Amino acid sequence: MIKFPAKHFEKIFDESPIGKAIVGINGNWIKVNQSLCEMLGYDEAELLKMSFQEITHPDDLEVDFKKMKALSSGKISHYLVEKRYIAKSGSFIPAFLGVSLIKDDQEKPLHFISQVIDLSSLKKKETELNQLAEELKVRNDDLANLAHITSHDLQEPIRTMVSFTNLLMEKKSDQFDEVTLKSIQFIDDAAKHLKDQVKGIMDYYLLEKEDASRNWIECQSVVERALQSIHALIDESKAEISIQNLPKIHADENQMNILFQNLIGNAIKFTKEGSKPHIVIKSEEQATQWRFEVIDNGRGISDDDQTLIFQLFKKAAKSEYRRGSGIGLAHCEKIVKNHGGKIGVSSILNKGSKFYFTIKKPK
Amino acid sequence: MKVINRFILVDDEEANNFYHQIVIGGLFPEANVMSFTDGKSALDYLKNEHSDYNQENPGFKSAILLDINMPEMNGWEFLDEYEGLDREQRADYVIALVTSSQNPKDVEKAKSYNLVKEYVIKPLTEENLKDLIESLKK
Repeated sequence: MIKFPAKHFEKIFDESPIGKAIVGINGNWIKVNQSLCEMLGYDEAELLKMSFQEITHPDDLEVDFKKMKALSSGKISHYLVEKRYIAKSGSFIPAFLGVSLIKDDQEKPLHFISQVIDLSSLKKKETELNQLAEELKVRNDDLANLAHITSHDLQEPIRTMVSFTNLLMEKKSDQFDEVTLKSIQFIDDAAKHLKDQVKGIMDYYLLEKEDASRNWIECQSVVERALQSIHALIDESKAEISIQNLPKIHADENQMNILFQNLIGNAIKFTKEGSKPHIVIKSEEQATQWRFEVIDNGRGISDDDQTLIFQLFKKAAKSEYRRGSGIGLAHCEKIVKNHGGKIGVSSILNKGSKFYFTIKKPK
Repeated sequence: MKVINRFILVDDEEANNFYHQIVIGGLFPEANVMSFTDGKSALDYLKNEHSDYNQENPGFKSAILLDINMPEMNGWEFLDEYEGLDREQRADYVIALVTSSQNPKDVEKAKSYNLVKEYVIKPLTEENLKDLIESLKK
């Protein structure tokens, strides 16, 4: 082993950027280094006339004493605490203190070695970060609120538009020329599209606000209800859907319903030209989770689009189904995350897609 | 300047094509307006039928109003294929329809295309259609 000259160790003490001190058993400062003096605003001579008790925040004294006692009695070999010192200026200095004990040959405590790191700048940053986090939370709440209020307020004029276009088309259609009728039809389509979009935004934010309320639910009946909600789409497409023994799971029934509606709905919408959609829904129980798969024989999703489709308002670049709101899958991802699971897709263009998701089991 | 008597609309939104047809009809009641909801079928038309039209109507010009933001084949992709057409298969003018609020870069890009004579910020109105025809005369 290399032997270092004693002055190396003196240098470690004297020139350390960390405050270091030798403290007597009674708490008086015996030897202090420059860093400690600078931290506390006292010069060496002043400090050496004092004890650590005099310059410790009164609320922090007790912890320090207890630990010192445990250290002296040999219960612990060292201790680390966060505490506040009182600088000469009177301000509190947050610090991290590490203390160990030096004993003589008879195992009698001689003095403490204290090492003190100034936490002022860290604490300042921590306060700033906490403030930012608080501001962010307020802004987020505002944003969710805004989305909710605007969606609500937007629904009313949209409803008005749809009511009147319906009225015009049903009651007065014989009085209009072709251009007028077609114009009304375009207004009607646009209003209905807008309505879906607005509802999507609202659902998304509602989901953000609400926590999942989990119960034991039969997936089979959840899926059946989901199919019922989109029966028009299923009838129109003549889709064949096979459901393979689904389990009873612990999840939010409403959210699971939305999840299945979206995934099955997508599987039907993105069907291949001229082919009947065939969809398989199956599940597998694993150690810590349930895994579900919704498999279709649709047109598939390109690799580039596979990452894009889960983002809010993003649609696949070449999507022919332009009337989509771009919300559905973002919604699904959120629901799955609410249930501590993962969602993903594997797909081959023109062959089909397999969407899978997992739901975490309760402990 | 020869009069434009044929407008070829390429826009994936059928409602836009319908509306633009009415605007154009208001200003040029004589003009013939064709509309396509995707670039592919517009290109098919140009390749197979447009040169006949050019030969039959020597005194007139034609203009394509091209939407940029389209699924399947967007406006730029349309132009890349359009560039490869024979002279007689092409229209006399290509005018880009851009939505400046959605993508301000589209205006810059439209300007940089040699094939694109002018661009119009959507929606097309009688007013900006008039301006457009004026600037084409220069």
